[in-house]
Amino acid sequence: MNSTVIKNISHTFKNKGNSIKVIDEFSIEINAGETVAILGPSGCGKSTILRCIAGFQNPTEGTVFINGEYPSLALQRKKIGFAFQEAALLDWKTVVDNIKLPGYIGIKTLSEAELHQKTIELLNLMQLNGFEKYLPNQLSGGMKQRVALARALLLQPSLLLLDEPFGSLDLLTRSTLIVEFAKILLATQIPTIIVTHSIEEAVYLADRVCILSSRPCKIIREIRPELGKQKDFNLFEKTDFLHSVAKCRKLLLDHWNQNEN
Amino acid sequence: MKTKYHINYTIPFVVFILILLCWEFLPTLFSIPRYIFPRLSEIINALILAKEYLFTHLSTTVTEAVLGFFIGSGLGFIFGVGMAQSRLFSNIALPYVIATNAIPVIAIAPIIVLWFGHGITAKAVVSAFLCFFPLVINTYRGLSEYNPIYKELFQLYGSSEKDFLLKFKIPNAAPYIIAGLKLNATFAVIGAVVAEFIGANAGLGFGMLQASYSLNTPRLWGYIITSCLLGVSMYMLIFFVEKILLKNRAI
Repeated sequence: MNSTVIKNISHTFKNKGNSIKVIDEFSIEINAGETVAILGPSGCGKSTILRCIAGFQNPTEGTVFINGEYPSLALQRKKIGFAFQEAALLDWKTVVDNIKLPGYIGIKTLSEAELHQKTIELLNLMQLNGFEKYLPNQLSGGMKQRVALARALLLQPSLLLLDEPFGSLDLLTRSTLIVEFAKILLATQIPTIIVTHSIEEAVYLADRVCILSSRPCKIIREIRPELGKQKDFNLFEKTDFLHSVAKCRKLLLDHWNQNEN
Repeated sequence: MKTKYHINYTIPFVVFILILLCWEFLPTLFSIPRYIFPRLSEIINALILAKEYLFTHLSTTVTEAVLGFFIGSGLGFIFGVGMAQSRLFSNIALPYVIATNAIPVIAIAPIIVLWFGHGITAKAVVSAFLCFFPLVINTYRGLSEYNPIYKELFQLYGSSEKDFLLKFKIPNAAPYIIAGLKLNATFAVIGAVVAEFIGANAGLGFGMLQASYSLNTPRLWGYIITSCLLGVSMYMLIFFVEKILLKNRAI
C-alpha cells in the first residue's frame, strides 16, 4: 500500500544573519487513493512544503517518509511524480518524447516496450491522441499542462505532488482539466498532494483540504468536503460543493482578518 | 502575402545588380584610374588570368580555415562546457579566455608563425585562436542560462550531472552554440588570411600581398572578393546546418 507520512516539518530560510521561518510543524499522512489539498494565501510557504516533501530541499526539522523511505531514496528510485506551476517541457522534443522523458533519466525502471505501452495509455487518458508528434510551442497552455501531467504519471509514482498545476490556465480550461483530472486520480489511486490557492480546485479534487495560516504556515483547520468519489461538471453547482467552498473561504478570511487586527 | 514574399526577395536582388553595375560603370564615369579602383570586369579578368594561382591559393586557405574552425571551435566548446560545469575552472580560466580575445590577432600572428613555421599549421593555429573565444562565451552562456525548474525536473528522476548536461543543457544551449559557430565561419577565414600575410608561400593572403607589391590592384581585389565569398560560403553552410538541427524550435 502506498502511503506518505510527513511528521512535524519546520523550515527556516537563513540569509545573511536574517532567518525567516516559513513552515511551522506541518504534519500530514496520506494513503493510497487519497488526495490532499494544501490551501493557503500566496507567499505563505506552500511551495516550500512541496519541495521539502519531494526532497529538493531538506526541512530544518521533521521527517518525510514516502512508503517508509526518505525522499532522497524515493527520488533515486523515481517514485515521485511532480507537476510544476509551469509545464516545463523540453522545447525540442515532441509530445511523445516529452512524456517518455522520465524513462530515459537515471536508473531504468521500465523496458522500452513498457514505456511505449504506458505512453499510449497516457495519451488516451489525457486526450492527447493526434498530437503525438507536436512540439510544445504548437500546443495551447492547457495541452502543455496535460503533457506535463502525463509525464508525471509515466512511472506510476508512489506519490504525486502538484504545485498549482492549473494556475496559469484560463477558467474554462482549468475547470475542464480539474474534472478530468479527478477521474484520473480515482482510476490510478495514487496518493496526491496538491498545492493551490484556488478554493474551488481544492474542494473539487481533495478528500481533505488543509487550510494554512500565513507565514510561518501551519495547518489551521482540516476540512473534509465528502463529495463522493464520482465527480462531474455538475458538482460545481451542487449545494454540498458550494457549502464547503464557503466554509473554506470563511476560515481563510477570518484568519486573515485576525492577523490584520 | 504572395506579393510581399515577392518584394522581399526581388528588391534585394535588384539592389545587388545595381551595386554590380555601379562598380562596373562609375570608375569610368569619374575617370578613376584602375590602380586606385578597378572596374568589376577588370577584376574578373585579372582573376581569370591568375586562375592557376587562384585555385592553389584558395585550396590552401580553405584547408587552413577549416582546420582552424574545427580546432578553435572544438577547444572553445570544451572550455565553455568546463566553465559552465565547474565554478573553480570558470574562475581560473575566464581571465585568460578574455585575454586571448583582447590580444590583437595581427600582433600574435608573427609569434605563432615563428613557432609553427611557414606551413599550414601556423595559419590553422591563428585561425583557431580567433575561433576560440566566440565559442567559449556562447557555450558558457548557453549552458548557464536555463530555468532552474528543469534542474528539479531532472532531479526528480535521479539524474546524474552528466545526464542533465547531455540531455538538457547542451540541447538547450544549441541555438547559442550555433550562433557562435556562425561567427567563427567568417573569423576562421580572416585568421587564415591574416596569418598568410605574415609568412607564407601560398594562400589568398599571400596572393593579396604579392598583388599589392606589384601594384596589381585588380588582382588584389580579386583575392579580397574570393576570401570574402569563402567566408560567406562557410557561413551559409552553418546556416543550413542550423536550419536542419533547430527545425523543431521556434526562434
